[in-house]
Amino acid sequence: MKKKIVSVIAFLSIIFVLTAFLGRFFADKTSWYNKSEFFNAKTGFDALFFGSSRMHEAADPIYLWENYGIASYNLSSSGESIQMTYYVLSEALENCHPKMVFVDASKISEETGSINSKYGFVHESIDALPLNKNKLEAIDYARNFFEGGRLAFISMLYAYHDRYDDLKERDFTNTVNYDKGAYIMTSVMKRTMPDTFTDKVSPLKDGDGVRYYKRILDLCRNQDVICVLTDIPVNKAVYDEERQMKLNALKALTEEKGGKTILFNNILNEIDMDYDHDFGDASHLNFMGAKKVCDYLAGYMKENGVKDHRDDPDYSVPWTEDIEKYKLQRIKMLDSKEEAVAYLFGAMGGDNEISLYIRNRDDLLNQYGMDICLEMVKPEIRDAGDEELGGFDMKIEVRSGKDGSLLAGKSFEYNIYSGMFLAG
Amino acid sequence: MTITSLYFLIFTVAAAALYYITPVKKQWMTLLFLSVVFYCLSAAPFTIIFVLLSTVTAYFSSMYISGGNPAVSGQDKNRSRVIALAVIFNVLLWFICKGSAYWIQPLSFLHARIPALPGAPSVSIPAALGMSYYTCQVIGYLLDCYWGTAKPQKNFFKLFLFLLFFPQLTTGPISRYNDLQTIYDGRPFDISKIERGAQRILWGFFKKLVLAERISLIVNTVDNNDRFSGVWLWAALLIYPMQLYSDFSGSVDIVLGLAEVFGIDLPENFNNPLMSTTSQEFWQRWHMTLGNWAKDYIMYPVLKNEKTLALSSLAKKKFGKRAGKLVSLGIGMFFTWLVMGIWHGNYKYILGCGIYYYIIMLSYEALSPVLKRINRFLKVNEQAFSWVLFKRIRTYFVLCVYMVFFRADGISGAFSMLKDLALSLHPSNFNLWSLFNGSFTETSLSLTDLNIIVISLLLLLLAALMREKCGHARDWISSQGLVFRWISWAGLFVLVIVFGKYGPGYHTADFIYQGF
Repeated sequence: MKKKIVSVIAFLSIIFVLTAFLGRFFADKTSWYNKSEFFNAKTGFDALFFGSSRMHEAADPIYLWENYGIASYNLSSSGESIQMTYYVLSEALENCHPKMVFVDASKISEETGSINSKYGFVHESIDALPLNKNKLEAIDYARNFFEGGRLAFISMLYAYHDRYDDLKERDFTNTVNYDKGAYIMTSVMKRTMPDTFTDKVSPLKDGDGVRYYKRILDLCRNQDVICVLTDIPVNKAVYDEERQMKLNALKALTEEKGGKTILFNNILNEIDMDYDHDFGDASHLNFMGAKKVCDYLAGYMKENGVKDHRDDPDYSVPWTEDIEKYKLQRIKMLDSKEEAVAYLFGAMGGDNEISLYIRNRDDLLNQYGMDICLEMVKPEIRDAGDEELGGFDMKIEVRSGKDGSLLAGKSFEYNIYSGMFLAG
Repeated sequence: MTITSLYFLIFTVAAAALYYITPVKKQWMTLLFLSVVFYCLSAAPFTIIFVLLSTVTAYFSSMYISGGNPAVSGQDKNRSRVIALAVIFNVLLWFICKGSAYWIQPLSFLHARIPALPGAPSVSIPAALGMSYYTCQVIGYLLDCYWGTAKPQKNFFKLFLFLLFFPQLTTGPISRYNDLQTIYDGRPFDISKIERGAQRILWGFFKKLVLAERISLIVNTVDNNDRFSGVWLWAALLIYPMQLYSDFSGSVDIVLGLAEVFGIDLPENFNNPLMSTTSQEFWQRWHMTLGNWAKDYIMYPVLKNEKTLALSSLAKKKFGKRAGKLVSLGIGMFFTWLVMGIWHGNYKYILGCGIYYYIIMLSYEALSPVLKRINRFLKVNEQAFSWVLFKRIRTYFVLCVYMVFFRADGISGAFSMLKDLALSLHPSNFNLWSLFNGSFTETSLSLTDLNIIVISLLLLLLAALMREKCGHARDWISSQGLVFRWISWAGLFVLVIVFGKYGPGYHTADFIYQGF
């Protein structure tokens, strides 16, 4: 009997280990991809960015480091509501003590009884957080809005076991984002600049989002961290009077609780925002827009005492190592670019030599954004026929400036309806 | 609490722990307590009163007949009256609650034509959990006591446990009182029993979550989407029995495994039914406990009835020995299939399950001498694999047609489905290519899912073949070396937790036989 019991216990232990392994294996790694470098960081951070995809694609820590020596991390994620931002921020402040935190204004909902997010987005926000009291509180809140209860956020196997058709390379390699949590777009899309502004203030309803935002402000004040409510540039269509009135009210609330506010949509000309080229898609900035936002934020941080760490080896050594890894990762990520402009902008930088083989040069400028792209990237453009293009209409090659070795390459087909060169 | 939920698994572990820490003599009380808790967590708690009512009638009527002296004819008459009253009471209770479709539809029909008559009640009629199962058990118990084949239970609570024993409340099986005496026997902790129970539960989860749920996505899409016509109707027709089998037998595996955890062996409900070569054999292998119950408590009493014997002997005199046998069989089977149809709780089952199989089986019985002569004339080798396979396919197809009544929404729905199936055979509708043009992805299944269905069916077939040749597959696995055993069970575990259809946002369908 004793032998049998030992055997059963041993088997159950194997099952337990197997379950843990499978849970980790099948879990969607996006949250870890973006956030694990923060929790494993060798240095502290002076600034942290929180919020939804608008912030995720606007605040570029690598740019801030290379140009201003500011150590920062972008902890925002797609569709993150302010409620989840509160829990991510709480966890972040237990791991480091930044001087400033920038909180995205776009997902502060006045609704009651709504998390203002989606199931997958909540996972993206909190999966990478260590399982502690803070995460359990986040789960306890989130479970009210989704099926599956607490288990749906605690057990990765329960939540993700059916991802067998969606496994990616990332699931096998556990790669992380060396862009310090940000996702910087390289595509170009034309948007319209907001042009009507109001100083009117609407009374804030005490909905879930507003209540959680107040908790954020209180938390920051208690921890002696400057909380900066940040409204990232948006398209004119969504910047209506109602939104502005709400933002004005949030600004008043922030200042009342000792925080600060940057409403970028009110200073678009001041930061030289170019609505013809600074957006990557309908609602997110690309690297050119992000650069303008970051330049402004850097100035703002300097004014508030954030230091340049580039001469401090405790910072510069690990950051330089990470930037090298980031450059390699950028090249690797080129393969995921679906159109030629995004590919060319993605390949730009360092000493890369870029060659563009084209069947018909007349088609080239039909793609929106290609003009500014060619002007900035300056690829070597060569006419090519079927032999070089292999049936495609364009081929881009990226070679190392040091030894001429091929780093990346991709072929594109010209789509006459959209006027775009799309990956074949 | 459904038996595929995590709460059920937690409940099982807690229940087993509580059971085995209870002193052996009092373990049946723990089972009763657990059964009440399970009932209250799984159904509207007040409906337990129906189970109590059945127990009260069974207890007092069995006590009454056990106290009387059967040798005294007057008392004997009273005994039969008391038992008849108790049986009628339980049947009526079932009709009012579970068989409400039988009286609500006629009431609505009559009320629509004669408004002065009362209409159907506007509130839904409550029913007890597993009412169809325990009503059969209570009737069986009453008749066994009456016939003297069972000794009446003197402890009211023990009798209550017989009806309320929680593993079988969800999908049966229907146990006979004499076979379930082991629930009252205490037993010490035995890890082997728990291990075997857990293995069977895992196999049940595999059938339900990996296979039945996936097939249901195909069948439901075909049933609810007009775009899926022609050959898809036939595909759903042919695959639905697999769904029902894996669903129903999966639930029974979980139930039997759960009972095994407590060291209790419940009767088997399936014995490879899809390997049957005739419909008669099929019903001896499918839902066996209901079939056996109907045979013991309906068919045999009808066959032994004086009027049946008289009719049979009349037919024998007029048309010969075979006719006499057919008449008696025809009468016995008629009542058996009628009750089996009624048990399922809807008119469509009386027609689909009852009348359909009654006609099929009686015709087969009547024509079997002719069929045998044809086989002899054609020199058919009845032992040949090809002939056995043909008979299995034939039996399966008969089953597929019966399943139309199971899937359809009422009798007219079933006939409309049969008509659509016939019309879809027209060359302009029957396009085999539509099975391969990728349209199956609209059923929310991926190619991987389709592969999983195929692999799971092969595993099921392997287990079935092993059972035909050498008994349960788990017994065979148990006889293998440690590494093989562990790999087999861990592999099945991985299959269930990775490929099982469950998780947030996914609603695992109730077991099809859970509604009875």
